[in-house]
Amino acid sequence: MKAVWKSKGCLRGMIRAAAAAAATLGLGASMLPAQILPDEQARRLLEDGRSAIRQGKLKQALDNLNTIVTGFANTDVVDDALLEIGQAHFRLGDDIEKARAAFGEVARRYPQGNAAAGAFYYLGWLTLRNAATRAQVEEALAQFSRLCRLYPKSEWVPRALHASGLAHRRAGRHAECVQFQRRVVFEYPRDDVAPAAQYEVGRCLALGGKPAQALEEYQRLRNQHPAGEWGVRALDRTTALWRLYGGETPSFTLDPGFAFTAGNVTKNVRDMLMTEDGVLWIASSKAGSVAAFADGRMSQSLSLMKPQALAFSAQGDLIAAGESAVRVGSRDIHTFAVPDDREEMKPLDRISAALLLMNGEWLVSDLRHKAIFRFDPEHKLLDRFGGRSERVVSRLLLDDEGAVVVLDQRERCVEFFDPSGQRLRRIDLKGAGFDLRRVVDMAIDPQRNLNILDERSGVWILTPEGRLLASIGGDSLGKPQALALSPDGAILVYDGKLDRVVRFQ
Amino acid sequence: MLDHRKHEESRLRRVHRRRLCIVAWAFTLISSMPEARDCAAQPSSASDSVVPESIQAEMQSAQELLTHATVEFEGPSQSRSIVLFDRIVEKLEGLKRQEQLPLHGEEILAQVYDLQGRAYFNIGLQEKTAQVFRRLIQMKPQYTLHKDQVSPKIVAFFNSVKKELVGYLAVSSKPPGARVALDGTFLSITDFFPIEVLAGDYSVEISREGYQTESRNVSIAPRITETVEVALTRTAASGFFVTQPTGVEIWIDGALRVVTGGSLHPAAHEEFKALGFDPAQTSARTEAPNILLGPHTIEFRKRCFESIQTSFDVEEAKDYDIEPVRLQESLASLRLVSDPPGAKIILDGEPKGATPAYLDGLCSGSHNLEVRHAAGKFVQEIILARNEELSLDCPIRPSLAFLGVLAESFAAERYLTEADTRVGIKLAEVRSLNIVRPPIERVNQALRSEGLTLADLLPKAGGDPERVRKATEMLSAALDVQGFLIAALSEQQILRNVTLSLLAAGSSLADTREASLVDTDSKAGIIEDLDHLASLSRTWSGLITIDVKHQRGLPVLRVGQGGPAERAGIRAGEILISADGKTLASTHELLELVAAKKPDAALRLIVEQSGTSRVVELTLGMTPVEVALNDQGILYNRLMLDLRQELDGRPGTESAAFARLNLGLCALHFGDLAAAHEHFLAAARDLPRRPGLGRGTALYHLGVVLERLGYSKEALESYRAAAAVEGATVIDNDGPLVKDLVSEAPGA
Repeated sequence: MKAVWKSKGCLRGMIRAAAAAAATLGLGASMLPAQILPDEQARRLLEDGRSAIRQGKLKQALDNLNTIVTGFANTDVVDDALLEIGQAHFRLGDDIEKARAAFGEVARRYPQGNAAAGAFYYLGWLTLRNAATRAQVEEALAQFSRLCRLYPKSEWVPRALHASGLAHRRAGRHAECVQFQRRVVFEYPRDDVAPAAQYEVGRCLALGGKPAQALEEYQRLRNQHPAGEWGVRALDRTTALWRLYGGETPSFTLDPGFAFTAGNVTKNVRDMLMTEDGVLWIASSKAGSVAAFADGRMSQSLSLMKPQALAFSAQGDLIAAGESAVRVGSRDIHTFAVPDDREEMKPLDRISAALLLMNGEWLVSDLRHKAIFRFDPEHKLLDRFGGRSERVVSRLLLDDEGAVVVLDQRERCVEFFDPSGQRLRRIDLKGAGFDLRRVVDMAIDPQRNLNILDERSGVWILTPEGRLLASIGGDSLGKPQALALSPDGAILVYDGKLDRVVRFQ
Repeated sequence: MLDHRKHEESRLRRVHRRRLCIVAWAFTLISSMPEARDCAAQPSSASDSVVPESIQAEMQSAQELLTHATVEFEGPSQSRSIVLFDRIVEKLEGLKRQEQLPLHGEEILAQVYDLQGRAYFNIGLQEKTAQVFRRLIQMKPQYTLHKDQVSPKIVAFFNSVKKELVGYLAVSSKPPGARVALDGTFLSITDFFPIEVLAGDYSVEISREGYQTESRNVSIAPRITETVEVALTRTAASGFFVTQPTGVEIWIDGALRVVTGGSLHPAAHEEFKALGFDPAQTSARTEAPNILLGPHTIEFRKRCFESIQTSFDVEEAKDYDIEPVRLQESLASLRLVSDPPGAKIILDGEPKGATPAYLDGLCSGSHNLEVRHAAGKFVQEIILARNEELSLDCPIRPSLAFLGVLAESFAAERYLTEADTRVGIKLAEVRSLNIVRPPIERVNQALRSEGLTLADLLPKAGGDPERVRKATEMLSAALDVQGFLIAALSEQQILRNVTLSLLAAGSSLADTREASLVDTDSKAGIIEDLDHLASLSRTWSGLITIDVKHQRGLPVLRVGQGGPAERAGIRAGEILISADGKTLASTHELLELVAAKKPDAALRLIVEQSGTSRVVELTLGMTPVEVALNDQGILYNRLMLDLRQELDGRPGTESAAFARLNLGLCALHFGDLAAAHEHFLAAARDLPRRPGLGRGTALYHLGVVLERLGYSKEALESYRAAAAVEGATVIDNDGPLVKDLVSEAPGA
């Protein structure tokens, strides 16, 4: 039986090889037993592969596409197949290296083909996505720029322009970001990426300190797509910006109609986080869990002993740090160990916050060691993040530019680092009109304003430069313990005295 | 004989000095013969119809021989010409025997006999001379030799030969003017003096329209004159017409028979005055002959006069005086306006000024009206009734030349004609353009002069946009059109689909669309696209509001400078609660409400500030709108036709300047930076300096183009000038402020 199967396999292989050889030699269709031209066969395989990708069937997709690459190497769709392979690895398999190899092959071997522009785009995008340093961001930018220069008529140009804008934002160049995104909006108004680009225009204008222009831009987007995804998101942004900048001073009032309680879940709350689609995550040490609430109803609950802090990874996964372990979404739990004085590995058991970087590295802050440790994706200790000085860190966040934001209670400051550990800037929690001594939580809004929660005095909003913008809720809160920002800029605060979440809007 | 030789030699010497001239004369003679001209232009048979190629070759050969023979004849050895004449005679007589000798062949043959006879005479062979002359006279009895051209002795000899062969015939008829034919060959019109006729027996036929044909047999003897007199019998009537005015066409039973003319005989003046006629404008008594017996319909027609129809019964073959007719003048007037104005009016091919115009004193009836403008034209067939005052609004439409179908494969070539027909049928449905089909030879010739073919106008890799642009401009001027359409038939789906490429004059790249040739939905696809008129303006409130959650009404973020909202006193920071009684939940609702109204319409608003509300009456305005740079839904070349029409149609106006601005954006769409630069420069010059879209907008785009062209310093200057225009925007009057865009520009 085995021999028969083997024989069939051989026969299939021979036919495939013959077809490939025929294609290589340029023989006509009449020479092939199936009477189908190799180009046509390859096209069919490509369509099957694409269909499998759409259905999320990675293996089937790769089988079809790899057959084109190996058996129909001389057909005119081989570059398209390689591009699809790269996308399949990227989207379905999350295998960045294989994706990069496939895209690289297209760019190297088929620079004149249809797929080359797409390959350049993805090469740039992968570089940008994983960029930990300024140089890597610039490298991504160079790829996008190359695409626009070499393939000015390609359908990938608007995406490359959009991605260039994102790269500039990552590099903190907001004006350049606006310029690139505007090119998409002006020059490719019907492209799929145009609404995202217009949203980015608003975002970068806001980041660049031009809230009025940002408001106009978001509203323009909303006028064009009132019911679409981007129109809805734009409404959140106009609401948030108007609240902050519409009047002479930011205008927040306690929403008397909102008081959220959920039994043990809203007792001893250590942290809260809200996603862009309005799902509120609450980490409760009383409940020993991290629970998600959508429209006031619990939609998910993850158990975690003594949860301490919540954050989102660069990929958007929820990172829940417990005292001795870190949970990533609903998938897996990670523990970390560092050598003690005798060079014996001891697990961290006073974790206060954790973060998963784009390159797979971990940042874990530990109160026992008063340090932030950096681990590789296999949890091997790399170094102390941000220098050797002792730190008492209660929060680790990633901001929109990919910077690591550290709330240091001991130093009473917020520090910004690039993913490699290079400090970018520092904001002291003492300044003109404010002196925050019992800071328990922080959040960053899309304008890079710092929202600091002080156990005694409520919410303090500081500009990216550390200037006081507003203070909220000092009198109306009993014992604020955690805060979260909603997509429309409302501030949710957990009041530990009343065991409930209140809202300022 | 010697005297004769001397005379002939002396003449020959004179002639010899002009030998070349004589040769040329021979050529001229032959080619100037009407028959020869006809033959050269179009082959004719013996009776001047089609001459077969073999006969033409024979004639050509005979002509060449005649030229050669004439040279010899005029030379010192004249006798050598005789052999050559023999060869010509052999050729032409052969054709004559086969009844294939054309009329001009007979002329040549007569010429040959003339010269050959004289050559024989000059060497003393009189018998031979007589033989040749006899042949000549038998062929052409009326042929003569003149003493001022030929030696008198030869002339005398020729006449003596002729006397032996020729008699004379004279025919007269009552009434005269009858046609006389001899054995079926036309001879002359009666009455005539004796005509030379070859001696022999003949049947003479005398015929005249309206009379019975008569025949007589006659015998003509040499030197004798025969006379025939015939009284013709009438078989049809004649009508005699008098009209006021003259020049009236008389149509009998639908056929034009005669046009009245001349002036009334003085003796009849009083009689016609009594009938109410003006003798000075009345025609002479004009005959329409040969009217058959029975009832007839007569119509009196003259341009610019009312036609009159009457009936008339002919009972016998005689002259009838029809009752005099006075036609009434029939005039109308035409009032023409066009958009744009200033278009040239061409009525029935005659220029009639420019629009707007009032044309009176026009003849009633049908006319071909063409209102022509640099931006396009309006063409219509109109019919004017008597005393009608017709007012016509003449929308000027761009003209699009359909240049034909190209085959993209060998297989497709067979279907070109059918595809061409089908595309033509589809294009006939286009309403917003004049579709014309210029002669393809003219198109090809114009393109050849630029070293291009039709295929070079289609978009393709490696094409030269600058050459295409020049070619479209040149073709546009040559064909008097504003754009071009070329169809391409591919190997796939032959006769199902074609690719249509649309090029505006001055464009460097065509827009292409697949068009179905089998789709019966007339409004589908390319036709709809071609008829789609882009709107480059919209109603404008000048309110820039934003949507905010949990907020009653719409906060006013800013008001457009100098716009309707500012004029109405609305300020930034106020809250817009309702418009025309409708509570506003989103800015989109407000925009829809405004878009549904026309400029100058009123909008009743309730606005609120610090808890106090007030009512504001706002008069809406209009904002120009910029064309998007890369909108796949736009046929940019179609849009360019409209923009060019605006530009050429209203030169010096603001709308023309905005058309310039948008033409610049179209050029930018095609990557034609040179053209974009030109348009933006002109727009920056022509547009007003004011908030919203205007000079600042054009200067900003100019900066973008200069930057792309690598002129950083000039770009910066342009950006700065743009930012200096207070409140200048892009996209529309509500669009992003130019000064903000400039601040984002590198180096600004």
